[in-house]
Amino acid sequence: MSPEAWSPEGIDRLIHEPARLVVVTILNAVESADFLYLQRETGLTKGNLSAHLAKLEEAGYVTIEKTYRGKIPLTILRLTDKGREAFRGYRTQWQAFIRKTR
Amino acid sequence: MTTDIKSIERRTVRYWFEDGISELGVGGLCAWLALYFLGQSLAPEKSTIQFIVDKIGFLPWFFLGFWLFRRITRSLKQNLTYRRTGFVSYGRAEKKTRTRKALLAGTIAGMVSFGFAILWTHKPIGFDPLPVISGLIFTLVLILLAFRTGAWRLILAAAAIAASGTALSLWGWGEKVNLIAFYALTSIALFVSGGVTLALYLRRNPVQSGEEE
Repeated sequence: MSPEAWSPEGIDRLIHEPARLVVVTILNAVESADFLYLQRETGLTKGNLSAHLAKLEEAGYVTIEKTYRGKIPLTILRLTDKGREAFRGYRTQWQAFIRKTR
Repeated sequence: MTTDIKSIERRTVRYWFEDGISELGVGGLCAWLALYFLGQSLAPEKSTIQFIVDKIGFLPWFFLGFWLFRRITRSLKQNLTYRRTGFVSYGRAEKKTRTRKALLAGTIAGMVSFGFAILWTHKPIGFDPLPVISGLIFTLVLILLAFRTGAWRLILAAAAIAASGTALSLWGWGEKVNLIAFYALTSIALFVSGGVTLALYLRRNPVQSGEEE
């Protein structure tokens, strides 16, 4: 069963997806991180990670900055204030849900 | 896939310590301070050089060292770590965290001052309390960092520093030499810990070639 199928009412499903939850958790713990770091930590392929990041960017949770380190392209990711707020809300809701189901 | 948020956060914070470069930086700063105390002990008595070193030399020396080793650390991270396992910027902590850290630092400073006052007033003849107190401060900070990040090797470095501080306080060579020896030994402990960690990190993570994305 996919997580989206059994998500409790009101939970932010965009963050609840496991791969995106890892991405958002990492970005919430730092100011910014690059694509390489996120890829290593999530274990996702480049295409898969890009797709998840695009969804988060579309929702206004993440900003994506494309730059260069020397001649190598570098992608820097940041969680926006809206993203941080959404993550805090998700965490609170999830903890409440766990308490209720104990 | 289960997502353990706390362990992800912990791993993200630990990443800063994964390559050992931060220990090399702090070790370098300790060696820099050992050089200052060496200069202080070598300056001729009642000379202008001694006056400058004693009265106004410490802060500029410390801040210059801090600036220098911060730059070196950043440069090493950029050239060795970020191109292998990625870049992370930690930024400023939230206000709540800053207040908690300030309270913790204040408590530690209070405890250290209290311990120092007790040791100073009751010190046996020949006992130099400065190395043991300095050793305890380093030890406490390293143990806190180890528990916060899970970088358990820091406890080994902390134990070595505490042992060297205690040994110098009990069987040292006098206050001036003890301080030089303490900072030199602390820098060696941190260089060994950081150096071994960096060597293992470089072996485990060969450089990535080509585009990142």
